[in-house]
Amino acid sequence: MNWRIHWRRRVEGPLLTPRSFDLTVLTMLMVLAVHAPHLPVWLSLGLGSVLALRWWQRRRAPGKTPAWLKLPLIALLTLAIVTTYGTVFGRAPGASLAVGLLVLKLLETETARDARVGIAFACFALMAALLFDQGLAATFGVALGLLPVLAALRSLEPAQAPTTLPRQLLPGLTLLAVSLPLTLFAFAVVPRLSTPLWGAPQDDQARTGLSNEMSPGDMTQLLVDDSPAMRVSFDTAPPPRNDLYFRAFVMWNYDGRSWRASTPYAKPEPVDATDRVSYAVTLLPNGQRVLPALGVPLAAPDGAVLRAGRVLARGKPVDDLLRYRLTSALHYRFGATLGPERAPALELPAGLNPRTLALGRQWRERFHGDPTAIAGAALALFHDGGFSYTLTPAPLGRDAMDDFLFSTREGFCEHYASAFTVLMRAAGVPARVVTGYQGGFWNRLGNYLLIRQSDAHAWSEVWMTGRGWVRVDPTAAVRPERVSLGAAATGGGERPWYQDAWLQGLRNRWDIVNRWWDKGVIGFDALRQRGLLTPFGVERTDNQTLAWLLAAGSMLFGGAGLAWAMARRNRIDPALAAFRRLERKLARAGVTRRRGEGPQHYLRRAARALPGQREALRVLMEQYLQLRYAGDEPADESLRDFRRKVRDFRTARVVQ
Amino acid sequence: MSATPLRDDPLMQRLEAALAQVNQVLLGKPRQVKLAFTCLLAGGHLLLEDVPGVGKTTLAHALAATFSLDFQRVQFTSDLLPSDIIGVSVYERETSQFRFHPGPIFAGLLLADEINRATPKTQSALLEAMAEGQVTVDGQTHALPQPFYVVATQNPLDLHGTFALPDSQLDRFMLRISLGYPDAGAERALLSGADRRDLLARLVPQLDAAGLIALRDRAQAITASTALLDYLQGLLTASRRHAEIRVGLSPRAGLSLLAAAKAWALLSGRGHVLPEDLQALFVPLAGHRLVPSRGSSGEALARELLAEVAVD
Amino acid sequence: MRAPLARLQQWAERRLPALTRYRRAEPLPIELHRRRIYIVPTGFGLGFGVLLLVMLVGALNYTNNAALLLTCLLGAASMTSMLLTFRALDGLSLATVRAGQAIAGQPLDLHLAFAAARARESIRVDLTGQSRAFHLAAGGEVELVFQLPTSRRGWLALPRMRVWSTWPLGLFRAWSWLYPEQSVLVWPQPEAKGPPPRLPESDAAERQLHRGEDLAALRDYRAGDPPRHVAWKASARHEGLLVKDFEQPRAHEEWRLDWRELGALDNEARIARLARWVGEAHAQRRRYGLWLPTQEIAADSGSDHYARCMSALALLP
Repeated sequence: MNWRIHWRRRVEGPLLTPRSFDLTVLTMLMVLAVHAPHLPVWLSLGLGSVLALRWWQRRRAPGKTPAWLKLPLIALLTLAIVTTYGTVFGRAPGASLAVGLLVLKLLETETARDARVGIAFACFALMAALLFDQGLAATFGVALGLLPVLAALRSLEPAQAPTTLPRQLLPGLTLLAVSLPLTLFAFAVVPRLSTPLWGAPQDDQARTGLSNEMSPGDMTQLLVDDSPAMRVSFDTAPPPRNDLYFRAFVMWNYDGRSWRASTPYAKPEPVDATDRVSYAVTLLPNGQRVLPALGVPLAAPDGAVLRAGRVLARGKPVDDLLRYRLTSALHYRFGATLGPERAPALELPAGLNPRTLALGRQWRERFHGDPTAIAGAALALFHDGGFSYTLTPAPLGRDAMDDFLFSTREGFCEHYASAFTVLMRAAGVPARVVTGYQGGFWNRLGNYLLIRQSDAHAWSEVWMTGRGWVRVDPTAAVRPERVSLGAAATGGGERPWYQDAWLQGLRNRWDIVNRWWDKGVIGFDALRQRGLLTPFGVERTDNQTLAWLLAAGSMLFGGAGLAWAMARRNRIDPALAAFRRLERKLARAGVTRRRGEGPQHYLRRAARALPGQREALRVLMEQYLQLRYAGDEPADESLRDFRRKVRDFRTARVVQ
Repeated sequence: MSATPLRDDPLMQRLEAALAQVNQVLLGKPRQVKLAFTCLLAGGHLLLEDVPGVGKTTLAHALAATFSLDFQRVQFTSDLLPSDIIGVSVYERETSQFRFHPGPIFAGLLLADEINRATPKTQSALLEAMAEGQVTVDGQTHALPQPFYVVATQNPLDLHGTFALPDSQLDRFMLRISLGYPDAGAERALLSGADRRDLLARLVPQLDAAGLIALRDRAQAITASTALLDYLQGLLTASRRHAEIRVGLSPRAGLSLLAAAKAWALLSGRGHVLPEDLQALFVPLAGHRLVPSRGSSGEALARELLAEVAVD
Repeated sequence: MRAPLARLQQWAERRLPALTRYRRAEPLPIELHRRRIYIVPTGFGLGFGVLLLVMLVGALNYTNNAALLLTCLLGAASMTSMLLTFRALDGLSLATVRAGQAIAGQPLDLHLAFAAARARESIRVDLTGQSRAFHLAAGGEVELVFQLPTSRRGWLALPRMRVWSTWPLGLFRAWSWLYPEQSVLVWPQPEAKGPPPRLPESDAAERQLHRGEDLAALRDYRAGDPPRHVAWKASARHEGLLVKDFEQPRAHEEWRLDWRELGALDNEARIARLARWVGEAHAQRRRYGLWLPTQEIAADSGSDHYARCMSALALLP
């Protein structure tokens, strides 16, 4: 036997072993990695190099980093964060500061105690990363960060069998896997807060997505962003692709450069729907206060109101995954009469785009103010006037529309919608810009429509007497496949070579997993909690019931775990087990077996003590000795017989 | 039950008769007689530790007569030389050759009286011969007769001028027993009965050497189940772990215990070994092998072990 | 954090004597099982619990389900680690306690052998202020050595010892008190200096006949006497055979150490003196015997004999 014994005197703060230190460094590295997406690049790099230097330094000679180096570093960190964000409060600066301090804490980590404190706070920092992104991939990344955490904590225990670094990470994985059932149970029944205890964080970070402002060229970033914006599942068959216009913002105000979604009045226009479609939308957080809706929504869901232009406005920005149900009209007539909004629908900034205004006036005279004809002329201009569709158009000058219409003649939906609306207004036709999404990808596997940020679109609505607001998509005049095939088809030369069909398929599958995650985990709110628990007979899901449920369930899991922990997995010989049973019966009758007493001796003693059972005990003894000692493979049948006899054995209580 | 066919066996009947005959001569000591038989059947040697006059010689004589073994007795003294037991090569003038004159060790049953009186050198010559079943003189190896059974005696009280058998050599003896004084009934029978010497003279051989060897083979074939081996191992392990035992039982002691238990089971008319067989033999077998770290005696420790190790 | 815990433990030991330290001595081997293993969170474990609570409230407040899931995962892993802490001790057994030999005043080497069927990591044992940590392979055995301070001769009861572990994460601490029913024998301390033992009288009766070169006497033949020792010429004049006896003087005189010869001293001084003589005789590889009121030890030599004599001295009343 040559088990190596490691011992260490229990002095205050034994030094960390190199392995423990490596694992602690790895933990901090993971924290840094999960925070890197939202930390400033210089901070990530700086902290990374501090980690590397500290690791290298301790490998050479253990020892704390001197205070004269540590304190300036802390001051520098704080200063840099204040300079970058203007404050140390708030989510992003707070996270930067926490991660920075955690890494700097490692400079003085020399003992197990220091390491434990650091690792505990690393757990907190890992969780904090989820406040920025709670997507599937991010969450898994963070969960992966728990492996070095667990391995580092394990390595702090003294006297272990030596093992390799990867092998040291493995038990953590097993521990997490074993803990998963309890985790999921606790996750399902932990009572959710109805109102936050303190202010929910402000989304102080610009999110990609539509905004309530649009100026030609703004959407370029958006149109190449393949991240999902929303998912829509229809109650019936999905509508044809040409009808897949999701309105988000209606924009009236034009200042010559940007369109703004200001609402001149609050009343939504009445609508006559000819056909309806019902659907459910899962909207990913975008920080906006509107809910995109297909066609024209007929009613607002809970927590939202219908505004002018039949836009669904919401009081709070969408900072978390949001699910809502809607019924929309695909074919409709709305806003049959035009009231005081006629004026803002015709307003144009004075002194800008003179050539465009002149062209509008010219068309008004030529077509005698017929809106259909004027719109037709504009579309014909786009179609035949040498216009092209590109995501990288030439920049526009002060008279943006003049430049676009008469010189550059290239652009994408924003340019066309903007130019078309300005032309219409110049020709005396009330018009407005609508932004939202168009098209999307029909995921056959999941039976839902996936709309990506790149499906963002802008179009126009013109008001015609008797028909109300009519949707006109000028981009379709230039690039009809933008509407019929979707955004992906229009990219043309801009699409990178690697985005082939196979990769696209993979991405769509990945999106299904994400959808499941969004629905099952991120969207698991009090309502869904009730939905999950009702089938199990839990009618009321108030906090008290849930707390009871949590306690009871934890006990149940704990009991199962305890049973596992206490199981002594040694299989006992069945004959011996039966004999033990006999022993217990005899012990109740007052004949207790002594330690080290042979079975023959014991049963003979029992037979003397219990004369009434003498014969039965003699038979049992002979059978048992035969079973246990006469050979190694006793016949099943004699074993069964013995067990039956033991079961039937009764000790008639003798008068003592 | 398996005991019945054994009883019907003529060989077994003769063994029982032999047992009965020895018990007739050595009154009131059935257990010690059975142990002596066990030792003989298991191919071991016996160490008798007793005060003089309790029947050590009688037992040896009776065994030799019953099994028709050639009997030799050697009184060990401090000046006894190894060659006095083993034999010498003598130069013969007529043939001009050395001829081996076998010593008293070439016997079926050797009674080594007061073995602790001889010098260690002489003791070890005997013990080596016992272990190997052969002697080597002047480069020539002479096999001892089979069966070969040594009954050695030791006087535990008179230690003056003796050479205690070294611990390592004690383990050559399979069992160490003491006959002790007879109980009152046996003593009365002894006093009123016939002279022992007459009785010994009237003993008839019940078994011959071939019969003994056949019985030894039969003893070897007795079943020892896994459960029994577990218990045996438990005893061995406990002896090595016990705090007051400096030297526990060796693997050879374990083998001896198993062989002895098989012989004991055969003598009990059983085809398999029971834990009780091990228990019956454990004290005489382990008592002289266990080396206590202080004070206590090997026998007491062996009893303690028996009480501690659970039988499963 | 440590002080309140210690107070709590003291309270538990006072109020629950059966559960904690004041367990009666028990025979070896002692196997740890669920009834005698206790678990409490460590200071770090409590701190970690508070941290988890903060994380939980934070995740709930921000309705961040991913963070909630992570918190639940950490919490569940902590709970599971408690079971592992329990399992670290469950089934572990103190197989043997073997004491070395020491004279009073010197530390005594105490060898504790621990065994377990499953592999164990990071088990710690505290005994009289000393702490040892060990790990164990499946079915293996490990021997720890402690130095037990001794003060006076005679039986010394083993102190209670604590086996504990915070394996695997350091969040929980499981412990069990062991109190083996075993005593170790401490030998008496020899006196520093004093007179040498009275040398045995060299009268002929005390001498032993030994085979040697010098012819000492003739005696009657006994069976087994070698034929070449037979004094044929002398035998011719006698009825029976006569045998030559040879003798050889001893290299070292045998010491017979006797309690009765030290009547002038008190008990402890006698014991100390005898202990010194025994030690000297042992160092000189001399044969020596010892007479004590409780027992008589025949002359012999060697370390076993030395141990026997010292033990006998230690056990004197």
